[in-house]
Amino acid sequence: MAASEPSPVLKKGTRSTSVAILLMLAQAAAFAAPPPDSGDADAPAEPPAFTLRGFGTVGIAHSSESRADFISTDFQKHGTGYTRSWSAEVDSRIGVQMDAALMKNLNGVVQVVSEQQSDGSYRPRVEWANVKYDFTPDLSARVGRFVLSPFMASDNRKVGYSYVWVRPPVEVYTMMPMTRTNGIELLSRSRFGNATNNLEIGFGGGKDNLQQGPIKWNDGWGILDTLDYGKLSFHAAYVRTRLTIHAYDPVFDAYRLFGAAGEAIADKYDVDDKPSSLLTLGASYDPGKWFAMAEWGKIQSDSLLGKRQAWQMTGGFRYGKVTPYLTYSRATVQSSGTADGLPYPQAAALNAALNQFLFAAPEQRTVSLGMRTEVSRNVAFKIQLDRSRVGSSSVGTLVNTQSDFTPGGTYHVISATLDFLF
Amino acid sequence: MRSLNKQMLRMLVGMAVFNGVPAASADVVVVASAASGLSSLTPSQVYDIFLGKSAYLPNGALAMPIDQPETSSERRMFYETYTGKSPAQVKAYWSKLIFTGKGQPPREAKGLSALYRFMSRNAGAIGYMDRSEVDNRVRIVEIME
Repeated sequence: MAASEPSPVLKKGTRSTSVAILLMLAQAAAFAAPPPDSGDADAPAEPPAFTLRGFGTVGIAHSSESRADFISTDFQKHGTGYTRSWSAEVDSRIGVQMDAALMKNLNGVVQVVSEQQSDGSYRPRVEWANVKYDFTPDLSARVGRFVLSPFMASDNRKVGYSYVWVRPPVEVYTMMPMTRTNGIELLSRSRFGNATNNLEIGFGGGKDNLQQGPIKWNDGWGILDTLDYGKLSFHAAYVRTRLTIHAYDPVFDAYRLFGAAGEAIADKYDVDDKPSSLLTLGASYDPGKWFAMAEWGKIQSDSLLGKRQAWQMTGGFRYGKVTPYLTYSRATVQSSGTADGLPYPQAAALNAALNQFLFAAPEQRTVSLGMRTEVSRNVAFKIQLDRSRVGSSSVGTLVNTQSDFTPGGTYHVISATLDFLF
Repeated sequence: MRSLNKQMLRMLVGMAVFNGVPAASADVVVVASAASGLSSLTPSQVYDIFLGKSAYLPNGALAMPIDQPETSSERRMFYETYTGKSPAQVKAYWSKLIFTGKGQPPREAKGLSALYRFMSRNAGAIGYMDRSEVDNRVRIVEIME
């Protein structure tokens, strides 16, 4: 049930599969032994033991740019701005997770999330489904569906309660939009004095449905490292995969009809099994009363996605239950934003389409001012104001741009969310 | 009387937080199983064990950290002192690890009797309690830089 299929019959099938999984989870929880982190806390819980937990966000957002949609991930059909002046669909979601201690040292996790998808539906999807075996407390392997985390909040981006922002900065976190992959991963932890190093090496692939159509990533691998030294943390990652986005195919298929010159353009720009990589660096310092973090990423793809960089810096202070914060984030495109195409009048429409694709690469910078407030146990309220400036030859991170949209402008997004755990 | 003490503790913690003074001087002590032979830890070892960054005690035994109930003032004071994090910050920290399948928080004792029982049955157990509640089933772990 990884991706929605074109057939309505199959769609119906995947929906009932999701419902069945949710029901299974609920039943298992009802019959489950007390979770290992509660109950009488005697000797270690004897497997199998099940724990059911959840997270969610109820949010509303408004964008001042009415000729395009602001979205929080590339997997959403529509957002705020053009489609709706105020939208609850940008940030709202709910997730349920079942943890199972299956045997000694063998744990399973299944997480199902319902949120707006590229077809506009809220069909629950299996985000995580993996088993993890601990060879030692410091060396584990997991197999199944999980996600690598090239940025510091890539893997927990759906859990609003776990971070300070309303949403991770879009300039950085839309660089690698994938939220799940099917594969295998080794996790290793080592200690040097008071420092803890976490090394992850993963292999896998997957598919999903972007706003503009299906995306596939095959033969992916990544090496990720996090070094914690008390309140200081460093993160670095390199991930590489072969990327396919078929939405662009009709244009490149047409180019190929023009012979060698057309083939060359198609081979250079199409996104069909193209090697693509992402390199990231990040650091954070969190002594409690305040915190600061910064991260940077660079993507390189032998396709129209080209070379891009993005970075963000966030800092905040904690006054009791209130945490005001400030974020600056920026995405830039290093590869050329235009292409000459073919010098034939018959190819003019194709050349225009190709340039339209390149134009969609996000150049944008945003200043966000926000505040997180702890409302009660397990509930946080956040408000955030973003002021974004779009590059002069780009649509920024906006989608569903209308013909009267003009690049180079400034727009504001105001958002409020309630993030909760259960 | 006990609830009065707790109220006072809460007030003290509140004042300490408000004034930015660490609540370290309060009488919440780190305890280990009496059988463990563990006599001292550094603050960063406590930090790493309770935030799941370290799986072992210095003597090589598997660490089994255990929390007091979420609403207890002992828990609040312990985390303020050794991690600089409020209960909500600790919760946000664990929500990242739990929902990415990368970690589970310490077990939680429902009450003192459950805490004593856990401490006496598990040699690697490590917890915290009010100094006045320490008895011969647990030993106080000295915290040394």
